[in-house]
Amino acid sequence: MATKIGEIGGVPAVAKLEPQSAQKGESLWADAWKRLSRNRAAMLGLVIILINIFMAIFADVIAPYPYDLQDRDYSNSAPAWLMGVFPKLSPRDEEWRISGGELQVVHGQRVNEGDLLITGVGRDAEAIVANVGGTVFVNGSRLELSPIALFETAVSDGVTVNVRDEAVIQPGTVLTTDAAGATVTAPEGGTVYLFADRLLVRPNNVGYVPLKNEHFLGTDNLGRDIFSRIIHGARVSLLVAFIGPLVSFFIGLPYGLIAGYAGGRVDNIMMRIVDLMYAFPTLLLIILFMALFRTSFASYEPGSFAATLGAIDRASGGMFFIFIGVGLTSWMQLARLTRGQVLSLREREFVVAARSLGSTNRNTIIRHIFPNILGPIIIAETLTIPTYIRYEAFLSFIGLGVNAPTSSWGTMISDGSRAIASYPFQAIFPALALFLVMFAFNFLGDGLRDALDPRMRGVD
Amino acid sequence: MGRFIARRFLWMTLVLFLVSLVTFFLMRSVPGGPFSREKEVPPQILEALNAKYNLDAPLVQQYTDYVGDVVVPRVTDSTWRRTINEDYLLNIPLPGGYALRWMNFGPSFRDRNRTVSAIIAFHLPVTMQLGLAALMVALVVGIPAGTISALRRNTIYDYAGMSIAIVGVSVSTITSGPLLQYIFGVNLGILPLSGWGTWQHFILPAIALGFTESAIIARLTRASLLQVLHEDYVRTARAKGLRERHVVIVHTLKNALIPVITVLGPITAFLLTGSFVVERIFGVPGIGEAFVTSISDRDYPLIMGMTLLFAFLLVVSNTVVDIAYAWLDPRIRFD
Repeated sequence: MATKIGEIGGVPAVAKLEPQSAQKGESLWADAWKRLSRNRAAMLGLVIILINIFMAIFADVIAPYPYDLQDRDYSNSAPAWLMGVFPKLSPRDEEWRISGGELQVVHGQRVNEGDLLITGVGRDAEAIVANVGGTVFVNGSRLELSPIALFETAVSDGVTVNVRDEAVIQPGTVLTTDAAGATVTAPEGGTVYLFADRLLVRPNNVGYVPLKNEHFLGTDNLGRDIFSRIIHGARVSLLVAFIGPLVSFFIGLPYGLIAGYAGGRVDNIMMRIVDLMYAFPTLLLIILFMALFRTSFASYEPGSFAATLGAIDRASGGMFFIFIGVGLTSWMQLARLTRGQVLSLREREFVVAARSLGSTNRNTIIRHIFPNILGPIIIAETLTIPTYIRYEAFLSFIGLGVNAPTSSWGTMISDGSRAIASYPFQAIFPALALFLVMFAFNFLGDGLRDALDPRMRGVD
Repeated sequence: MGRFIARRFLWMTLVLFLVSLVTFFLMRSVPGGPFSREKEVPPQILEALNAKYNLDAPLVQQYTDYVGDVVVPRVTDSTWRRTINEDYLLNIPLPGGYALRWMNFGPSFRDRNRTVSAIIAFHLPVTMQLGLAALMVALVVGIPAGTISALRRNTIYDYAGMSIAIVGVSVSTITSGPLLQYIFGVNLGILPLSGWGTWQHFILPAIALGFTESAIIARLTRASLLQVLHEDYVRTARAKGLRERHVVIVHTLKNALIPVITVLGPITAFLLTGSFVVERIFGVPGIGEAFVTSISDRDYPLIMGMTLLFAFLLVVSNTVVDIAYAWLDPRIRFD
């Protein structure tokens, strides 16, 4: 027996196969990653998500201000660049208190951007540089700088001025009669300022937004930095985005695996329970649950179940109940999906083969079925994440989300939308942040589906 | 089919029963009654209040009384007058001065001279109108967009349509509400920022509410249409020499739209919960806004009544959609 099995005519068959087996086989996951990395939209989504995760983890370091730091002097402020983006926003006149410093400007003087206004004592006991060009008004103990163009008329000798300095006038008010006898009427209402040789009218209602460039996206109604609060808000949103799938994987997945694998009566009962829970208006009950346990006036007996829940919730800044809400609703869909997948695989040849080789039930499920249903599960969960994020934003929006100082995009949008006409940036930036993250997860989910299940490409 | 409908109805009843049970006992398990508020109430008054609102009866009896009031319809004669304890949401006049009255949710704790039924009757029509308008937006935008994308597959129309759709799916009402408000209300100033009453007030909330749904419908229509377009009977129709428009409308679209019906159930749910947000943003006096207010007011009967009403609407709409789907696609009945 010189010739071994597999050798033909003395030449080892292996030798012929060698070039082929040397070619590296690609695992499903490597292949999927390759396809995913070629999908630009999905990669963009992934990058946005990674940036958000980074923001959420290092929020304390990245955010220029603490999320709860209030600057009451500069509530509702906006930086100069935002005034350009939102045309309806107009900067309030800069205003400084004069407290004995040497004044370099006089009432009515025109200054340019960058001019030094006061040295010595000012608002911050420093030199103040005009950050807009405009007209200076010395108003009692205050110094105002009005950046707006003013209605202006020259006052010649021998005219009667029928208004007092700082009088408030209506449109059409006759202001002066000059030497020639002509009348000048005010084109708009405003405040009159008299100077040596001229008369100025500063229109009403033109600037109301305090200008402060230190806050990149402005401040909210309590003077908190919106940019910092958006960064901190990523924490809540992303935590929810990961808690949802986590609960699904620990409850929904085993539930579906068992139901699908067991089949028969067990499957029937388990799935009827899911159907029942599914038909339940869970969101309503969560709202109810949170409303009752949170806003109840009476204090709970310490040590009772409700008191413990309340304490955990307070310690987590109000996130605990949100997690419970998301957890309760998230697992059912995955349980259904998993069961369906298991049912379709249960009688397939490789499972039957594994079983006939003596594989235990547990082993069959974990080693043979689970790896084969992982793809659809990951796709489904990624595509569900935006729902969880929306859920949290929704609860925060209606005032049942995180507790007061903790920042959440939903709360910020809710607060901001009340002042949308005056300070649109307060609602719009958190809204964009929310949109961007949901968009990113949708893109990544779509990309994952194309990568893991090429048959589905282009469909839906 | 009859058996299927009967099963769905039994199922619906079971769910509603469980919802009422959970809601009721959750409500009653909250420590401190509805009257332990800012000030201590003297015990005599508390007793009288509890008696007035039927809070001194055993818990099980309270539940059965409440559910009885809500569920059991009553026929009244012309001598019947509304009281604070007896006011019905549905009043159907019958001949001879009689009337069939149904759904008595009892008095509101907060508004002492209004009943829960009266509050619901005031707010619900507003939400219904808004919801219908949003549904119209969703269907009128979604179905044509999905159809065009599918028929002109892999063209610029398809890519543009589906790109907008993925934006739409990612935009929640929380995002689109303030954005629409800013663009059309503040910046362009062509539509009212908030309020209710004229047709202009409809536009922004309906778009905010319907946009996401139109995106979902567009994606679903496209997917379903693409599948149907490859069916044999479509090829047969084409082979017979039918005009393309005839093939699409008569043979394809009719079948492709069946799966779209399945999302109408979730959409109803979405329109209801979405109304919480939209009504708050746009200052619409609808039931969602009333629900949120009732929560912050801790008006328990109102919360309870609205939860039951919402649950009822959701479960009924799901059941109706299930039945409609089974009717259109007979394969479903035999699962």
